[in-house]
Amino acid sequence: MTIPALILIAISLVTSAMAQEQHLFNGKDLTGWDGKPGWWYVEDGVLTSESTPEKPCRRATYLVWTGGEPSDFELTLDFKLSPQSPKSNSGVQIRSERRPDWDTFGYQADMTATGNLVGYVYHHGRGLIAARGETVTIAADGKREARKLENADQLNAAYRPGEWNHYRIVCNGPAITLYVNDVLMCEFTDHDARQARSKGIIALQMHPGPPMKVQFKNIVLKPLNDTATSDPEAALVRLLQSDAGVQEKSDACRRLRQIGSAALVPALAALLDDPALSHMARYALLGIPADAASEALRAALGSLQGEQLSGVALTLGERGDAKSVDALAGLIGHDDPGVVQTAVGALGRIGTPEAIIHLRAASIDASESLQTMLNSALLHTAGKATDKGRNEEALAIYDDLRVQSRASDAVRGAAVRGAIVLRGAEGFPLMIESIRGEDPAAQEAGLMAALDLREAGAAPFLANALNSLPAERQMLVAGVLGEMEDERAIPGLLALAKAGEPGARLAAIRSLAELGTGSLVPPLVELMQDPDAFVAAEAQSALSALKGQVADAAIVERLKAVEGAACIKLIEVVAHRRIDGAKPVLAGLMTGPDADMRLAAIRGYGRFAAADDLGVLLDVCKQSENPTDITALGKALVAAYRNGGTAAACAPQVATALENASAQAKPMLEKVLRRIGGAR
Amino acid sequence: MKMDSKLRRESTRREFVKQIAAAGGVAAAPLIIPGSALGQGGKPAPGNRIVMGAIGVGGRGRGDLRAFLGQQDVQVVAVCDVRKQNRENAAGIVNAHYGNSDCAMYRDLRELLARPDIDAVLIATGDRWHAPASIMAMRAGKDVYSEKPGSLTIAEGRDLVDTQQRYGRVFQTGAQRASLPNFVFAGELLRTGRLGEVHTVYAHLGYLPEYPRGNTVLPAQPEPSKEVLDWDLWLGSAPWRDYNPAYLRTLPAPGWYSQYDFATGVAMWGSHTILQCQLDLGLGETSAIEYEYNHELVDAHFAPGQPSSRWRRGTDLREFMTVRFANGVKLVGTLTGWRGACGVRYEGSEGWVSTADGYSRPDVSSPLLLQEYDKLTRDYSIRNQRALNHVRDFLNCVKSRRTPVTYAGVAHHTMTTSLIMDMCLDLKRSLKWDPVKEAFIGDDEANRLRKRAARKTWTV
Repeated sequence: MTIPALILIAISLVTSAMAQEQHLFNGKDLTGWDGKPGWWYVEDGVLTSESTPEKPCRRATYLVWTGGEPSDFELTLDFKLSPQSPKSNSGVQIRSERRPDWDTFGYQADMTATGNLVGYVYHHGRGLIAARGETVTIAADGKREARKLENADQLNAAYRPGEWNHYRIVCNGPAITLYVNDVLMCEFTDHDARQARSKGIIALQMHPGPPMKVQFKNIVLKPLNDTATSDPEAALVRLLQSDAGVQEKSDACRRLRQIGSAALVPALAALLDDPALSHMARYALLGIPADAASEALRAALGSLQGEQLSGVALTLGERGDAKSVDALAGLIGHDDPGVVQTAVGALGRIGTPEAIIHLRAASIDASESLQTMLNSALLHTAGKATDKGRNEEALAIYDDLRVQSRASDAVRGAAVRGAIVLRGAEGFPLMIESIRGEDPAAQEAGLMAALDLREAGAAPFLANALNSLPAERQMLVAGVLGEMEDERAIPGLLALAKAGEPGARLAAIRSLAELGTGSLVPPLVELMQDPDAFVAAEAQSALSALKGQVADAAIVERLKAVEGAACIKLIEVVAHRRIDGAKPVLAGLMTGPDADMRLAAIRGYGRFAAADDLGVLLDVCKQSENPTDITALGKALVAAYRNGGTAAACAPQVATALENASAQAKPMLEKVLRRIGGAR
Repeated sequence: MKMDSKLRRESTRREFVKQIAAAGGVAAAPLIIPGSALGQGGKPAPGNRIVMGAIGVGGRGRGDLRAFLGQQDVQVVAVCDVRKQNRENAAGIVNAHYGNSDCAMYRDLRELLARPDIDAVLIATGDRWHAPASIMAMRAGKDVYSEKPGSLTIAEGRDLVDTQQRYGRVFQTGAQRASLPNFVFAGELLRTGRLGEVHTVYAHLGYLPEYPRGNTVLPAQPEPSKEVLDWDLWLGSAPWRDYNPAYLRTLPAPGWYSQYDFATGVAMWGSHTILQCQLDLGLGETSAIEYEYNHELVDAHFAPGQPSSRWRRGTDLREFMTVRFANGVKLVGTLTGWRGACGVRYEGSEGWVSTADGYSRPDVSSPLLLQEYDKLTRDYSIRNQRALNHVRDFLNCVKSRRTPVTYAGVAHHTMTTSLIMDMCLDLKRSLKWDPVKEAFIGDDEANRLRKRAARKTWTV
């Protein structure tokens, strides 16, 4: 798809471009240019195009520079048109659009062999729009105003037919100025709202008509910033004060946002009451750090209405301008709700003690909609006050908002949390009260505050309060306690795990797993034997999750002590934790009297057996007669071998064991040996 | 290459929990249940689903919407778009999904946000609206899943973080690759030390809608009725320009992707790839400090004969712009370098990994690394209790009040790096940034560009 032909103005944001000369033609080839094949070539270091009777040019074709779409620049070049036909015509496109098939559309610095059109500005849409010797301005509505400065014929004397001539084309803002051989030819200023274009491609023309030849050399492009305009700010101010169109003035504001100084504040302030430009004036003023910008905005508050007034209030807030607080407060009673909203929002953003006083005063008899705005702003100021260490002010706001009947859930929740967190440990009672209460927003805020206050010691306080809460709240609190990683919560959680409602017990056990140490092993082993299957499973899971070697040691101790189903469960835990210290105990269990226990021990051992364990497992083989045990031992042996074993070391061990093995164990050991041997 | 024993222990525990849960049917109960669902955990009955609204339901928004509809514990009750066609399409999808006609439609997001029954919102508007809409939603007490880029200016990102903290809402920026296995794997290789000391990371910035950036103002066309398209609301806080339908599409220029007022530049993909790099490096709470603009490197990408400035395909890992973090790690932005979109590459003293969209398995320095693909991605998920699904992670956090993987702070700090890279291209110079003061060092002009005056405010 092509860019729509209707594009009016394309502006580049690009700013302080490194202004440096660029030679667009390298004197050797067409690098950096794009033209219809066969029409452009380099002859003796000169860029050339020629039409002949055999190869006539029927339609204009252009050589387009592909290096960009410069906006403000000085372009200089030497050109020569063959004198054989007086109709020889060419030109240089600037700020133009590219069209398909090497065509273009836009401004052209014109040229003919006789010189009759040299120094003219031609435009594909509007024809010859500026003649040699003229100063022309086209207004936004397309109206053309021309003044004749010099005699066109006299100026033409500067042109040398059939020889090299020098074009200098200066594009600066809306103005295009042409010089030939250093003589000013014309000045053209384009504000046309429909046709003006502030940037575009550069291209050279091959014109249709009788045979001709055109040549170019020394094509140099200089961005304008450090040549013509040494004072861009002044130029922009002139533009703001001119009759230039909205678009150009907007673009000037964008630029001034970045470079403007206090000096141009008046020019911007003058636009604040212009509905079409007020925002862009603020856009620039927001960037200007000087207090003059704030001052101008403050001054404008008194005279503006509607959206322009709202906008200025908004930008004073964006600037955090403390001096505008009284004036903004004066707008809270304004008739226009949009103005009230931005003024209140700005006060919230500014957040000084004075702003807070105004906002709180306005709360006294505020309508419901105003109260909503005030609440949001007050929360904002509370955050600001806290940042500045003004905790008393912030607390007063939070305490007001958390009990205010008209506060939204979001505001109330934020206020509860703020009121608790800012008080630190002194906020704990409020934290419990909020969680215990029936307001969901406060409950959630209380729990979040607990997490915020972890380092202040919220966990033991919360844990102690567990038994005073309803079961569904106990679940939530238990969950939070698990996240808080504070061991002081263990007693409270343990009590809940033992004697709470079913759901709360699970949550408590889960959190104990997060916090727990070795000391939790005995109670968790107890819980693992709980009649409630979910509780038992959760406790088993918790045992496998407890952190640290102390827990490992404690689990081994319990493994020695417990019996029956609990022992089997604990074997699973041991295997999952891969507790090497438990292996001797497991080895004993592998030859015990209880078949289920033996099998659990063999399988458990197999889950983390290593090559070093081969001897132990082979010893067990000697004592085993049960086929199920023997099958399981086979798997354990292979697992042990795979965990760090080599065939060279393991195969002889198995082979030796095989010699003395019982009839039941032999087939299994042979199979194991094959597996090991197969790996050789 | 020894794995951190703590990580292993954690993972074993979680696996165990999973096994038991699978066997015994013990579902993980939510830590905190949203207001509308308070009372019970477990299987989502109609009364305790997360009630959601979707704001901005064009192409991307409808994709996100479908992702949310696919989650059993979500009930979408409303859609909102300034364009009638979009909201009707989206409501049709929702109604077809539930087999009813209950989905409410709104033109103005303020009306949707005013509904007290809505717990959370999806925001998939145009980029200019992401931060303002997120801020409005959080002020209204909603949890927010917002598309990336999360912010258009540095100041906006700061507001986003402050608002999130003030209201304690769950916020997830839609950098969904942070939850995709091939990217998670790359991150885990980095985090677990398998790449040794990581000194250089590469971020794909390939989708540059327009360079240099600017605005293209077209002539006015007749504005449709507010009901069909609310143009004022479409523009939002951006500078006014007369209506022209050419802005409504994304590309080609002057579609809104290409416009300074409406979108970002390299930050478009940086919002994925730079976020990804910083997250994996553990630098989610800071931004790069040195930004090196080398005009030769940049210009070379736009010299005659180079591909267009849009998404360039190619695996040539050619430097475009480089930034550095305070810890010395270098991030190289490139326009090509992967076989798919949004690639990242991490290089360390002992190996490297490189991945992008469409890589079922990342490219790695040694095939040994890939043997652990399943294990590492699973370990990540279990250790951090993160779903390998970005939408799911958000929903889990809505229930648990945990912090999502790409929370507001990460969104802001990584967008800051991306936005500053865009500013280097705008200003054509190198910049230095103080991430604590959130200010440029010795560049007043750049400091002015941290914010843009809003045309108007839409605050709820």
